[in-house]
Amino acid sequence: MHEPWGISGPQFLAIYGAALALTLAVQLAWPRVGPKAPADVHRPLDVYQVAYLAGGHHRTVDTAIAALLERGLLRVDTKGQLTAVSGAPTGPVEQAVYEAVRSRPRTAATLRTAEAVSAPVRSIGNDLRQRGLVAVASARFATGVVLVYVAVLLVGLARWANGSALHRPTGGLTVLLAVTAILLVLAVTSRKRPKVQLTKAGRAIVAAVRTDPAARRAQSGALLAGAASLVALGGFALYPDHATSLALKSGAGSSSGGGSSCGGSGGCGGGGGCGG
Amino acid sequence: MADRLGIGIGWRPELDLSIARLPGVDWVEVVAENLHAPHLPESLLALKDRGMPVLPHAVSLSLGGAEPLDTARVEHLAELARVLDAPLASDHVCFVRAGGLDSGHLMPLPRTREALDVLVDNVRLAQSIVDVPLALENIAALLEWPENELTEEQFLTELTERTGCLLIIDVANLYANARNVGTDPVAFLDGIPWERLAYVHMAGGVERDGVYHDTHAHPVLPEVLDLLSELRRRTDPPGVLLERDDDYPTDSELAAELVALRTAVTL
Repeated sequence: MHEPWGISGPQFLAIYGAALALTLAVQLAWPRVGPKAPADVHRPLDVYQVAYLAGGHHRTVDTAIAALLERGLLRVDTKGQLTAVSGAPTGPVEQAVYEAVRSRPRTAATLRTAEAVSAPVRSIGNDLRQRGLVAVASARFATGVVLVYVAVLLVGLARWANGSALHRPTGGLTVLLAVTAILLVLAVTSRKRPKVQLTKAGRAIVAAVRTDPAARRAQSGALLAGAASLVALGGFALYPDHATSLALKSGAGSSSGGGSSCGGSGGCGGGGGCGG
Repeated sequence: MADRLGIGIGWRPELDLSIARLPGVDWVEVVAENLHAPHLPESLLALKDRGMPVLPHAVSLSLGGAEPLDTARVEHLAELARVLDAPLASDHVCFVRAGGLDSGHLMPLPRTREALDVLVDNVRLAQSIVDVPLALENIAALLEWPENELTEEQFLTELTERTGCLLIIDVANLYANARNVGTDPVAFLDGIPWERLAYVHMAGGVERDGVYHDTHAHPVLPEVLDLLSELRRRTDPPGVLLERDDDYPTDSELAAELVALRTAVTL
């Protein structure tokens, strides 16, 4: 029987599946095994860079919340709803968090996923990548992965349409197309918050600042004390005021990422009427 | 006169964590319409459990309205007063609904004998539903009805005499009326039956385009604090409450405002 495109259905499925698996493998492994910038461990890190190393995107946002709360720029209620007070935030992450809350009250959970807040956090990730401390995929690599998935999907769709027109069985290909579509969506969404993997040097810094006060001093004076530095290293559970800590965890949802167990690998969990 | 309350603050959900730790808060007032008796916020119940008085304050009874009183709203206020174990409950000398429309604002009453009769009847009905003393508050008006027969202090005095209700005197509203509709604040203070005073409201506002707005979103003006001192020369208020409903300042600024209120009423 004449085979479409000169290959049989099972052969196409095998090739298609291999291409998909290879794309996924490269997507996952490249940040770890690909070329990295030489580790720069001598320049001190600020509290947000340490937060990013210790807990990824969410922890960095949480640290800005803690800093703003501690300085009185934000207020939190017992349900974790944050409202803006007044004052001048410092730095791009604080600025983004403060402006987002000023536009409307938010919880930590909604701030963690706010696009306006993601941009400055991504910038921190890129800086740490250039310093050889994290192996986060570059934006260009992430875009390339998306394009490969699109190409694979288009080829598969063309084969599927051709097979359907010829009344060939397409069940297996349909499943693989669905898997491709899911991987494509995940690749698109992870471009905004790429999975963070620490390099050996990055892991060493996190371990040092967690256990060694001298290393904390060496990294940054800002890390000597304060709610922001505690949250940077251990999440909302370490916010020094217990009631505030509970409120923040409440607003962060179930995956508030309190303890240190999530450190290192990144991506940690997640009017009344006028009285007259 | 009601039991002594001290210095209080309007409880708002956004402020619940702050209020729990603010120094100098002796009691809180809650907006009745924002609460449901079976599902009170835990942070509010925690204050109550600490022994802090929690007083419900309604904004929607429309006691001065010409339409039949919406007794379901009064029953809601009564239920809140019961579950909060409140010493009194309150609303305003105003109307908010007429002709099937809800203004969303506290509207001034024409101070006529006829309007007073309507108000008295509604207040008596409300008092028959609410188990605790009912207090009524003077509002900030942006207009005066042309057919007024009584001054505001005369109107409030007759209201208390005929119903036995208590009064909440909102000093910021008095200031607003002095600025916007020409009320004489000294004559007002001289004419109030102070033995009927439940407590005093204080709030911030701002003047824009020649009109004073009782925003509850700005600091209390020194002029309003001066009026509180003027009130203090006539009576020792059982309670003074700070109302802040928006643009909340820092905890330290709120605490400083509470200190200013305490200072103004402490001789």
